[in-house]
Amino acid sequence: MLALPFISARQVAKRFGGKAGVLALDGVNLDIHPGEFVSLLGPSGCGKSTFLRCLAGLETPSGGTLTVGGAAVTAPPAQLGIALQRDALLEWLDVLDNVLLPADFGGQVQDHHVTRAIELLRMVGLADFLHAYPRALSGGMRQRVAICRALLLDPPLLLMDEPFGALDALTRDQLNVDLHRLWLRRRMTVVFVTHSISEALFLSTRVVVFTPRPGRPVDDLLPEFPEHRRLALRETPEFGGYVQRLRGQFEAMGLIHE
Amino acid sequence: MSEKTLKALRRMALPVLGAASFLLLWDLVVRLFHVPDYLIPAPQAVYEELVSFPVWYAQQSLYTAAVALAGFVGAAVFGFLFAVIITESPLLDRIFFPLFIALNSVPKVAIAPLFLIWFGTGAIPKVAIAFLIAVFAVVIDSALGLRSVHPDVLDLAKALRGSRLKVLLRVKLFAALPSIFAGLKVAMSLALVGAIVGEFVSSQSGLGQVILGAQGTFDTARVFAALAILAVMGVALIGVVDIAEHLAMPWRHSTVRRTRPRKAEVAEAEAWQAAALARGK
Repeated sequence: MLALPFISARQVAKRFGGKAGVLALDGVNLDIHPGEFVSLLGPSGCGKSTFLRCLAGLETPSGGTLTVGGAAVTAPPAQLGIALQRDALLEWLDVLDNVLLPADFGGQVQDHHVTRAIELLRMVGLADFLHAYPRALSGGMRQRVAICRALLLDPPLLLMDEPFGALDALTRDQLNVDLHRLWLRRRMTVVFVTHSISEALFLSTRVVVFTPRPGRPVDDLLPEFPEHRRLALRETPEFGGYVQRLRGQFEAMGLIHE
Repeated sequence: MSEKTLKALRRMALPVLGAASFLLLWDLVVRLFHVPDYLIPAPQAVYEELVSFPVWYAQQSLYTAAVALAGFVGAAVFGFLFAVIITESPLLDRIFFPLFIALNSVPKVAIAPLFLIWFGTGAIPKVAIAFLIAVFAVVIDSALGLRSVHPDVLDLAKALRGSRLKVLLRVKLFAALPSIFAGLKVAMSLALVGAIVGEFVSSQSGLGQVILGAQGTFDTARVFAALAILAVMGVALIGVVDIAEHLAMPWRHSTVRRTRPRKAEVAEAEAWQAAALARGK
């Protein structure tokens, strides 16, 4: 590709706990271009979350260079959208105020923020819950609120760390569809951490497989699927072929035995 | 009567039942074992003592309650601010927290005579003792609460580049509220203890002074009358904190926030309806 990468990692390493500590990442080289939906796929403990936290400016790499939008990451980048495995909703704010949190933290909540927040909540079917407290919502609804919060300021970069990991399979399918639709509208760059092969394939334009100890990418896949995806895509032979290839990677790592 | 009112009545009735059985047992023991009046007076005698001097008892009670409340408010305000300072700055925590623990370890009863020298015999030394006894619980519990924010929430706040003040006011303060109120309840009862201790040392009024004076003349009924008032006062003061707690944290007991919709919200809803109508046609 000719365009400059939006995210660029060169030999990024992260060691926890001093010189004798655990090497969570080593030699990570990865370029991500604007508008890509990249899934980082791998088993737990393979460093994919650590890499995401480095991108978010929540961890500092202990080696290599990491740039977002051309600038080295030293603090959380401006206008970052982020969603974590636990929804991290504030129990004392209602749904609307939770979604408006990025605007509040960024300065002051303005009318257009409110309009945008309601528009997002409407898209994920939560328009009737604007003033509900989070404790009144199901796990899936809470995670939808968290995604709306991440998207409020139309971030050019959205980082998601296993956002659907704690949800049941049906809710997870629905949220995959919701997220796919939201991404099609705005085409922001997404880095999505998951350990589900089919979730990664369904959502992404690109799947990067991580291997553990130390974490680094070992495979880079550009699945060729239509733009508008439906859940039925997962039952096609093409999809099955990609799943097989990725599962083969995990078997080669010794993570799956039969 | 609806089920809800019945439920509420039963909830109110149970503590009354507890208190009534306690009084009954007390009365029974005094009668059965012929306990002399100067050791333990019967509930009846205590009641008669109370109704003989209602205005005087009310004055003494108000004095003690005012002293306890003043000490409590001081402890709540100072204790919370101190907790904010030590949780926000590890440096100030290292400097001041050990000193605070050391000062707190000095028995307050032993300091009381000193306060007499410093502040005279008015209400101020009593308020100061109530404050000193109560403040520790507020500091410890508030600091615990302010540190109890889930790391994921702090990560989120950091990623959203929230200023320190906003993180404190929007996140930490609310996360800390349950602990703060636990501390305030302990502080409330300790402030009452402090007020009585202060009055024991030297006072012309207050329930502590009533107890001390009555003890000198073996007027045990009067001692018991003061104790009974103190017990009721303690329950009432803690009850006030309970109500404040309930009001301060609506999200713990309701599912929807009661609020007037923002202007932008109303505008959005109207626009949506108009668009839906247009689509319908």
